[in-house]
Amino acid sequence: MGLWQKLSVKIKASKKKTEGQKKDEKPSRLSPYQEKLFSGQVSKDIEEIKKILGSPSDLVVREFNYYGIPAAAVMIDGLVDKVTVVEGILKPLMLEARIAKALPENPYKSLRDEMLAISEIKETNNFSEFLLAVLSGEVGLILEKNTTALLASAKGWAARSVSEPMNEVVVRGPQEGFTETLRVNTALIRRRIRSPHLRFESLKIGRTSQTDVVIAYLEDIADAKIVEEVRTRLSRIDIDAVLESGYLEEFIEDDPFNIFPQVKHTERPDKAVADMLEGKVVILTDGTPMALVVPTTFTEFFQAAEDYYEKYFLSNFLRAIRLISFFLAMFLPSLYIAIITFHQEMIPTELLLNIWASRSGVPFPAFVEALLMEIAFEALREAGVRLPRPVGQAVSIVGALIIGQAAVEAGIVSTSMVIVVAITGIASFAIPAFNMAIAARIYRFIIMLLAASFGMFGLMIGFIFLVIMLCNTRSFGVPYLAPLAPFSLSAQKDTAARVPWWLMIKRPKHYRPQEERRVKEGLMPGFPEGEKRG
Amino acid sequence: MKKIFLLFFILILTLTFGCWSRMELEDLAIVQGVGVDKNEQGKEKDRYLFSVQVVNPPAVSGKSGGGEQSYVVRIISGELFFTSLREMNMETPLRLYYAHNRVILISEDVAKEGVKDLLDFFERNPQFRRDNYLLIVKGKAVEVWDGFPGIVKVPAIALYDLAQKSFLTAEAGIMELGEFIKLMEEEGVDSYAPGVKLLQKQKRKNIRVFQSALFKKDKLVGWLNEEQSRGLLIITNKVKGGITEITNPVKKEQKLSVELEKSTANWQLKVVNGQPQIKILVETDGIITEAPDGLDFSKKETFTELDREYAKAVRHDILMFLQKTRELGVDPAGFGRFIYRENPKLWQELKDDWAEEYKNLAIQVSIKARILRNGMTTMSIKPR
Repeated sequence: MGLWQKLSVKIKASKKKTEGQKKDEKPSRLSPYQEKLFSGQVSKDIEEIKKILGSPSDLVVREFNYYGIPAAAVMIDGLVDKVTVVEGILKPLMLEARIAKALPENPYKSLRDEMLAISEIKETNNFSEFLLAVLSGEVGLILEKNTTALLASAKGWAARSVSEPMNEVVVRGPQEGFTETLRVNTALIRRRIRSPHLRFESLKIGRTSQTDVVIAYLEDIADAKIVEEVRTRLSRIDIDAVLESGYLEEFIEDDPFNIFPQVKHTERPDKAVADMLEGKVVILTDGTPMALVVPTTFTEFFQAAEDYYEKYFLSNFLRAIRLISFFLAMFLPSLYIAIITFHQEMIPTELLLNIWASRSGVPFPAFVEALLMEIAFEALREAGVRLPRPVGQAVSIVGALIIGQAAVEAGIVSTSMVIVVAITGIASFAIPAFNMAIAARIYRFIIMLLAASFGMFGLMIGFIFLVIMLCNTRSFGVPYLAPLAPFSLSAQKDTAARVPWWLMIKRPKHYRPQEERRVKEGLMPGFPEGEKRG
Repeated sequence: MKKIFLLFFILILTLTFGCWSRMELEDLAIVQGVGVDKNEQGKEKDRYLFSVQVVNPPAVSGKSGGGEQSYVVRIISGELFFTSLREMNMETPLRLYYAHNRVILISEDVAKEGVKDLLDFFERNPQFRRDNYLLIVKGKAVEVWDGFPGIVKVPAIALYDLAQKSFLTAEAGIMELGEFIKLMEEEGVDSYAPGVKLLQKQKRKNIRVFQSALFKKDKLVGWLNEEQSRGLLIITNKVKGGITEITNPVKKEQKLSVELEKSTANWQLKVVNGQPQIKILVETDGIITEAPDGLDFSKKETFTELDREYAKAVRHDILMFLQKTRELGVDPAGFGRFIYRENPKLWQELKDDWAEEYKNLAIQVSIKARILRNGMTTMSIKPR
């Protein structure tokens, strides 16, 4: 632990050094054109644009006359909605302007205020802003003798429509998932909360990509300090491109050497909204259906959206299963190795005899056997995930036959080890959060090594190390094991247990919400007093 | 550089220094029973015949094709237990492993000569559990290892199961290794252990766990029979069941059987003129399990009579036990220990010659016996 901490401190220090040097300046590829202003001559400006963009095949420049004045519309084919461009921009400017009486006093003003049938309009006078807008799908309009260009939003591109979330499936609950388009995602959130306090703060990250990132939170609930921390951590990022929220996650997490996820991600808008209602901050990134949620705690990774939709009996039961699964996924192989090679006295005799019989003739020591099987299993899983679906099935059949049967029959591994690996595998699937499951899967190998070297003692060392590490972890200043350590009794209502909604009166304290109450007290449903049941 | 060195150090620590007590499971020969016999031909240097029963796991767990023997018995002669067992290792390809041992058999002949030197090994070795059953063999321990036919594949396991369910008859003073040693070392109490014998019933072999061997210090001095053993179990509160035959109050020549349901014994010490008097109050409940004929269970008087008969039978067991132990001058019930605990000063006077004092100790037994139920029917079968 000490070693890691020292390392991370060192790296943080080096980070600070660079931070101090170039603060506040994060040039994008467009910033060289910041100083460049429009000349007022359409043909010259168009030439300039073509020069800068290298006249790519998808650049569309439509030159036309507006009341006889030369004008041009600049757009990127594929990023704009053609119908909107024709109906809202070109038609009014080219046809309706001709039908209209005479040349207006100020052609530019009439263009902006009277002719354009577009809801969202911006003005700019420099190339940098103009080009960024055009490259994001807006239509740029330049008029002769005017050094101000108009930017009309007619964004429209081929995008995946809102569909079922692939990785967070529920039986009961909304079937909508985030998409790759940022605007759709903000709309999905807005649809669920009609509060004036919902905030979307937008910023652009990535020198080359200029990706839109939105910080979403509820101003009346979320702790201002946490929001500010998110803001500073995000604005610190200086990278050439952000293609997925994972890019951001690695820049904003508290301890980069911690295997456990300190940032939660979700593709369910309902889950993101629920998190915002607890005072957390959601970070939406353009181009990915995965929203980041910070701060987060350990227990949250064992909560599924469905826990809150189904009856609480089921939720409690499922959470218990998930927690057990987590420990099984992490410790079962090591426990097996430790007992088989060091503590044979711990197993009931009948079981011992069974394992003895299944292990006789196996050429490898238990650790090697376990390692072989675990690696084979992980490889199989990886192959199944990456392969196209029809082939993936074939892989699972081959895996089941080879590992499950042939390996045992050939005497390379024992049946008991197959059972252990299978239980471990299933258990790791039962953890709802994929990134938490990964942590368990990787940490498992370390504990296996410890167990193979020191037996139960090693396993306990591994466990103690784990607990210390988790206690040391923080996510945006919130202790990772929050309601458990430091302990808070009222927050226990939604950790390993999930009490019915009418009892979850306050929001979890560890996220420091501004307004604590969320359910009115005394709402437990029941028969009216005086009346009898039946 | 320092950190990389540290990392290497940790790696070397785990990879080289670890694993020192590692034993792969399949390299172990799992011993289920250990036995000691007297070596008749042997001289002083190998006066014992040690035997172990090792399981053959594939045969037991049903993984082999069948026909394979499910256990192996190994014999070696010697004087010291551990030395001999280690030598036995030289004759077995696998390493003998005792953590799953269940029974320890000591033959009567060996027990008569004293067991303390033998038991030292079991106390010292970390692999032996203190809950191993200690059994005294009437005959030869080696023979017992082959005594069980059929159902249970390993005789040692069968013996263990037998000892465990001996409460059904309460005819044997079951004793665990740890308890045996504890009783042997404590003041004012002598240890005992159940007996086991290989029986030949119409040419069929059978093993029976029964009776109790009485020890004075560490030497076997005599046996309690079944009734006396039950008496011992009742007054020491170890009885959990068992069948008692009582006389039918209507037809005197006929017997009824009663199953003990619950029994508690309370001891009281009184000192009269410097002489200890022990009063034992036994409260016991029983159920009629067999009543062939002649009883009317619908009447309350029947039960009163049965209670009396049951009390008589229980008293008989206890008195027989007291008589036998007084004859031998051993105190397995621990009356001496009871006096020691209740009145340590008095014990200081008695302890030097406790065996003699015990023979004359005033022990008063009072029984409060109840027959609770008469089973599923009130009437006996009456053919007409």
